[in-house]
Amino acid sequence: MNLLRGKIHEVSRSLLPVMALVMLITFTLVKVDPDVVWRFLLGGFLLLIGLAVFLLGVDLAMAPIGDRMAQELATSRSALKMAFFSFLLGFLVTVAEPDLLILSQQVQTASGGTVSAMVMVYVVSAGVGLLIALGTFRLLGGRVSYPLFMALAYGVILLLSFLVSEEFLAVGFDSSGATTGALTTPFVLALTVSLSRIKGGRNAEEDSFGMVGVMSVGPIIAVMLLSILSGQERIQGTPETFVPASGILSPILHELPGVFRESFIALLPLTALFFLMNAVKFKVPGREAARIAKGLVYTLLGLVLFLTGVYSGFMDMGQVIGRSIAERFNWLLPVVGFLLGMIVVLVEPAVHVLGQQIEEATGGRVPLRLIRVTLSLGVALAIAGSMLRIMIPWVKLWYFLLPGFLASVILSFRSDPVFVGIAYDAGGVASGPVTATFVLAFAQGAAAMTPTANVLVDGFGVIAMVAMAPVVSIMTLGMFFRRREQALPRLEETRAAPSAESLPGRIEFLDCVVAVVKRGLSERAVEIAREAGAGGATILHGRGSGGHDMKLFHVEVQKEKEIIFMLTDTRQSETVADRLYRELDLGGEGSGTVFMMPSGAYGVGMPVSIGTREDTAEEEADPLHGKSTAEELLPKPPGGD
Amino acid sequence: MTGGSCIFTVVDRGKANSLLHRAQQMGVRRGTIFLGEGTMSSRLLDLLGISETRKEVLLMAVPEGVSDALYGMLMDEFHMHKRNRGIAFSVPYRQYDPENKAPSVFSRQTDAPHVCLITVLERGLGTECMGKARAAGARGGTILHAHGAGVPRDFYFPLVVEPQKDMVMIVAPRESAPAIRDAIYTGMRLERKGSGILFALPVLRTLGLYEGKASEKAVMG
Repeated sequence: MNLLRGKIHEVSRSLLPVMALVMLITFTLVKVDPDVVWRFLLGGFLLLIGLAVFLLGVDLAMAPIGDRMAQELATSRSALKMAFFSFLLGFLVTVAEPDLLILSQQVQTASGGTVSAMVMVYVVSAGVGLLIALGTFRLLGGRVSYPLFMALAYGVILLLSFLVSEEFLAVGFDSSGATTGALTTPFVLALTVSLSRIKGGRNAEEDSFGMVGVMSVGPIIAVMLLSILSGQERIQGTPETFVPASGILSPILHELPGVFRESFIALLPLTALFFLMNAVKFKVPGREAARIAKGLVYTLLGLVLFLTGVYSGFMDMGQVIGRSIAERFNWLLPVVGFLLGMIVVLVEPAVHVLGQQIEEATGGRVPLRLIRVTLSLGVALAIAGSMLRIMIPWVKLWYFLLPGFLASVILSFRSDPVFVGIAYDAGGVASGPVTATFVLAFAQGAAAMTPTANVLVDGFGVIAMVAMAPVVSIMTLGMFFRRREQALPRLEETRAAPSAESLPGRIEFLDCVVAVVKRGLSERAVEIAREAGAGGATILHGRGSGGHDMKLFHVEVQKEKEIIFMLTDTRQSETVADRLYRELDLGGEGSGTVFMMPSGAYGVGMPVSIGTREDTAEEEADPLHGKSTAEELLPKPPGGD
Repeated sequence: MTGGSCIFTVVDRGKANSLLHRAQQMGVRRGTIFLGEGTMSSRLLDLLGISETRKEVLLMAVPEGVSDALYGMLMDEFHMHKRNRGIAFSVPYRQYDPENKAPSVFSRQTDAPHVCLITVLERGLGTECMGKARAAGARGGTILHAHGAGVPRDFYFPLVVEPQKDMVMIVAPRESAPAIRDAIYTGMRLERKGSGILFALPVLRTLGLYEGKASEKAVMG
């Protein structure tokens, strides 16, 4: 199985339900022009291949680029450099986002030219830059808790919202959806995971998420400030009249060049910044640089295919379904909206990326399946709610938004910290290109055929709803999760008395001492082991079971672990194990373990005995042997550094 | 002092959980899973930049006596003796037990038929290391993303930067191990201080190792 095949498999599992449901609707409920159906099927195929290639590109390029940038960011020696660099990253990834430009042009036209499109693009990008910078300082500084930070950010939004018109509030939420696009989100996710990995420590897991949530606040605040400063309040516009494109291939070919240009421009700033910094600073080895370059090509190709498929195949289909159902089976709208929301969100590129990040950053501890189901449920309810809003005139957008955001702020203090970050991220992640085209088109179609609805106002709200609902639903899950975890016994830390002793003479044999401890304790463990005479240590993140198993809705939840490999002199391994055992209280159920494996080692100019006495004799003839003894493998005891 | 074999299994992502479950039913007390990347070789995939496959590594401490049954289960239920179904191998271990301290000399295994070579290098060099090892006769390997113990530095935020590492795990027959070891040692220039370390664990038993191709070629050629 190669990577691409794996990706295609992964994507098709989320895409097939969407195709099946839509086909079912077209055969039973509504009559659709065959051209639109064929184009939908072809679009689905493009989407499948495109998304798989795109995700591959994200793995190969976006993740390593995010990693290098995070390294650069975290190792800043001055606050000014850190602030400037993080602002620059946020600004650059947003300024080229095609969706943002389109939205800005719409606002320019609708406001009669008072708000210039370019000004709006720059203001929104600066908003994202500022929030990314604040988020970075929060993450690395660790003084302000994440829920508090987000509560403050939402407080600012709430205050400003009293000063602006409802239209601009909607535009603000929309621009927030536009900036968390297909390209920005994976990059920011990768950046955050790396930042938190570099920071390490006890909160590493929860710090790995949340930056997309932070970032999505930026545009809302920026647009509201723009409205207040420019004095612009009203937005009028006439919605474009809907004419489904005819033909099967020609609309697809028609979309292609524009999509290619858009995607290319969107990818440009980050690529340029990376290769510039690579030439000056990173100096990535040639092979890896080539891999990243290949990855960028995949990202571009995948994005082009994906977006072409969505634009040409899915948009018209969404409109047609929305119109026909509103016309003929009005009462069915919330049901169909619910079903569509349930499955469509899983096709979003960023949802796949977030899922992978959750798996990597928590070592599989947070059950991905539960997160996916909860996310779907949230979006499904959001779209069903939007349909109700379209059908019933007196139901307003803020009836949903205000209680929703209040609930998320309250829940964020009572939910498991990792879920809080994931939840805020999920809001930005769910409002991606598929929702923005297919679901929005469905809602607009429905609104167009409902006499009491306003296409412009009701259409805008959908994205805001989709961005809010998963935040609430995932935090609710996190609350259950936390309750379950609190019921489990906790480990108490003990203090250590330093006593390093080094043994005289030549080291003959080495043991590989392996300690399995709870996440966050590895630093402490290495300290103890070094005091007891162990050498260097290599740490892996894993998840483990043994002792207490925890179940949540029949899905098994495992504990996060860190595994530490240490090479020690055979004569000292017992002492190292003993200290670790006693001081980390490893004996108890589920608290960890320590064991030893025989080993031979090569270090910095080292002979090896492959675990056997006989081999040692063989090694004497080895050209590498005899230069030094095993002692050189072991770093000098602490204090010698 | 209890002992037995520490069984490493490398399987496709998502399979390790069910494997651990079965093992626990058979009397294995604990297991730890971490994520890794397999690196079976294919020139075309390598050219396209997609030569890695996502794997999970499951590490279990298996008491003496359960080992045979466990290997049986891996064959019957996970078909590990077939190609591309994952691999398993055993390294002797002894559990630390404060109640029962044995003499500190490990009973050295003199008859280990295989060796597990573990190289710890800077992040990003794992693939290159695998390339050198393959040139010297290694068939496949697993790359794990690890990090070293941190060193506090004078950054704006006093972070303990954890050096990111690649940990390459290669299981090879004992006869070919020295050649692979030397190839990695010289190829990755491990004689330079701080460039990486390499150590070996004796492997008593393996399952699913794909070694056939090299010998077949030799016969045909």
